[in-house]
Amino acid sequence: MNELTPPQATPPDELKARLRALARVIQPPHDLWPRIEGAIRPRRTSRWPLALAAGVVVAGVAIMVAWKTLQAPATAPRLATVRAQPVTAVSFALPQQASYRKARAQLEQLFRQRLTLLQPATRARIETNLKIIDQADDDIRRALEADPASPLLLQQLQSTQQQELDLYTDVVRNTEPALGGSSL
Amino acid sequence: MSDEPLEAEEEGRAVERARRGDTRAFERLYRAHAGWVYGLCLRLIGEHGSAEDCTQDTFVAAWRALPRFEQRSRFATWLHRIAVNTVLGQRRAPRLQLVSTETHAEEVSGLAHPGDGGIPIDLERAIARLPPGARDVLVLVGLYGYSHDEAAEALGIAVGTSKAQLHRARALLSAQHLGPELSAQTS
Repeated sequence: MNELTPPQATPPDELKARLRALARVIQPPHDLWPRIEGAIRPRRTSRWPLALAAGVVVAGVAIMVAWKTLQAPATAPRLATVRAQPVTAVSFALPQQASYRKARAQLEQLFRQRLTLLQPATRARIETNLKIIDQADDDIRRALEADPASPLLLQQLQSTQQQELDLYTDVVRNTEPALGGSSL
Repeated sequence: MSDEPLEAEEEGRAVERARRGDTRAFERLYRAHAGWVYGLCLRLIGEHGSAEDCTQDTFVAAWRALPRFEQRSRFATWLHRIAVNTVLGQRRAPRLQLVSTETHAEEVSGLAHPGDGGIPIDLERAIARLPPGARDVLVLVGLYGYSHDEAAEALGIAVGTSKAQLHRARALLSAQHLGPELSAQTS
């Protein structure tokens, strides 16, 4: 008759005892070693901080260039040939989730499709900027290999990843066909 | 796949060999610490798939940082710090707002349907449902034995905030009707 029972609080002492009794060790459902082993070979060592700093700065400039490029009206005449991807729900996905990776892949795919519709000169500039962002991302990841607990590097990695997502989103938004109910 | 504990001396030798690039030695360290790291990731994240990713990322980051590990602190302490930073880094990383209905359904399927009314809920689920700030401190201090100073440093918060969040977490858990444990994966 649970549905007739009012909610019951858990006494603090009982709670503390139960927290103490929880296991600290929980085995992963799968053996993760094969994945880890695949990721750690070969070990790469290098000196990255200088390249990292330069890469992030350049990436920031690159985003601005890309954004300004997208404001130009040159891309408009060919947009009607693009078929928009329906978006049926909007939510948040975190980077560690499979849903994040899937959504990111979908966004990148859409970005690549839209990129082919831009004028060659515009496309080339965006691709150049994207390479700079990717280089910065790579530099930061390698720096993190040497200092994985660095809050500064984690923050810079976040910033660079956000710049890449912003570039994808800006391109997709600025090449959006006029279809009702679809938005990013 | 149970943890295979290492004596301190044996662990020191494994760390030293792993520092020189011996992956077999590093596997030994993984076998000894995977359960602890996965448990920490799972409690902080609340979702099995992401906790696996967190565990993998933690060990990969540890491998890459091992040449700089000087054994002034215990390997476990150093490793757990990397795990906490991995969780926090993932939380800070960019979020995508474009999620299809199919993806959204996958996302919410993990920890849905908490206990309501008089229906008791599992303590693990209750912890997973805590607000992140309160959950982080409860997990680190209440479960994994961090001091408030250590938790505050790891989480980037003030010591007073850590104490307040622990109090909040316990109050939120105490207010619930907790039933018997349902998890069969703990050891």
